[in-house]
Amino acid sequence: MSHTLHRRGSVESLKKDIVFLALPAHRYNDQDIPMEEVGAKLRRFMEIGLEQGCICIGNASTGNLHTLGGVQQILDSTTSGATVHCVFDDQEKAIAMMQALKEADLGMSVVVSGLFDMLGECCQKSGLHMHTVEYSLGIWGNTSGLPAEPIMEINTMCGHGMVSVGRIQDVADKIKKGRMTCEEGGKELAKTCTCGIFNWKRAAEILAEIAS
Amino acid sequence: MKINQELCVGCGMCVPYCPVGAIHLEDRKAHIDADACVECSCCRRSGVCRKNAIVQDELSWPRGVRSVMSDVFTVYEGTGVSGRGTEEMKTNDVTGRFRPGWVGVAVEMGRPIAACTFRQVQEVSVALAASGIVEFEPCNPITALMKDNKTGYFQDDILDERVYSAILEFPVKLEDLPRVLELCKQAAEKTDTLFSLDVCSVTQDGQNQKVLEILDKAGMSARPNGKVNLGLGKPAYQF
Repeated sequence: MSHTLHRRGSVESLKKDIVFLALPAHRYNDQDIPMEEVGAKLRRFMEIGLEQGCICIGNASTGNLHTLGGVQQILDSTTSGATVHCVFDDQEKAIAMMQALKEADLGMSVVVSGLFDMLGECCQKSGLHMHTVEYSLGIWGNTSGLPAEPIMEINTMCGHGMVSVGRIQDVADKIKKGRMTCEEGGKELAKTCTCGIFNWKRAAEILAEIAS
Repeated sequence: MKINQELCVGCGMCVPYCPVGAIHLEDRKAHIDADACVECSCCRRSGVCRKNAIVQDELSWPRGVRSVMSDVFTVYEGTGVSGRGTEEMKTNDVTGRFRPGWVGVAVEMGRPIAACTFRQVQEVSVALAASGIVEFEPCNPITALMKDNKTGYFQDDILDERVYSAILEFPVKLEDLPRVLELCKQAAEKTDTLFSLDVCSVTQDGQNQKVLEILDKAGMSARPNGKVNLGLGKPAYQF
């Protein structure tokens, strides 16, 4: 599953989009460590994210802020193996997150998505290194039915594609008509991204561009 | 997924929520095109219908495969991962799935937005498998649906099932990457849907730089953003 890999946008925009995820290695950690202990480690990962100023968290197996009702509910729902996420909009906070994760030594695999140049700098400053990298080579084949790039930039922030093109257009229309602010629009769209990896702040900025 | 016609008041609020545009209004009622629907549950889970008219009908085989590949919360028991994919490079620090000298390639059919049938996936998987250098990742729900992961042919009864995306995932030797990239280019010219493409590699001995050089020679470029495994997982795999 490469759900945080193919995010689109300009370098300037992507500077404000850094997604951390943690998960146990299936058939390794979930056999070596009691399930509740794995859950506690994943919960701690999200708590560290919140302490370092992430803008949202989520659990791919249980839900996001909207579907579960709040941060506490997401934390409480994390009782066993899952993929959990923290989204950041600032490089300095991402560096602090890396430093904190290194210190916490949770033993879970951690993957960060973002601009490679920026992540390289983050690793250097936090004393970590890139173990494995994954490159997106873009979209191939019949792309004639794809929407305009700003819509794509928002749509690809939910890697499972659950923020639909129709819904993005719907929200953009409401913003144009003054029935919703861009921030409200970003948060509204985040609701259907159940993993919680949708960067609503960045979406708000893109919606502002679309609306203007 | 279907709309309970007795409960539906035809407000149309659910229509834009569908990622594949399968919901439409007709005679003042919402309807779901069963052929187009990929069973992702996005409409129902959104809670947009105040009349609870969006209902999940029983998904028997082979239609149930749509949910496995499209619904984020459906866990495929072979991988233990929610969603439609695998752990791929995300746990490579522990599993050592992609070792030095090898790279991982993922061809995510139907992504983004377009969706795909297994017949469309098969066109690409068979072409890749015919090269003799591709053997699909066994711990992947798509591979499990193949008759034989060496040929890339799928079970006949699922060929017309439509899913939001299907990830063909496989390791190849670094030296075989140029050939695989060429096959992907050829597949892109033939398919009437689309796919997102990615390559993962360890950074040990600068292998990822070699991958970038291969991509460059193939006329492909990596996006400036991507994913990085930080090597924090334990026990660390010893290459």
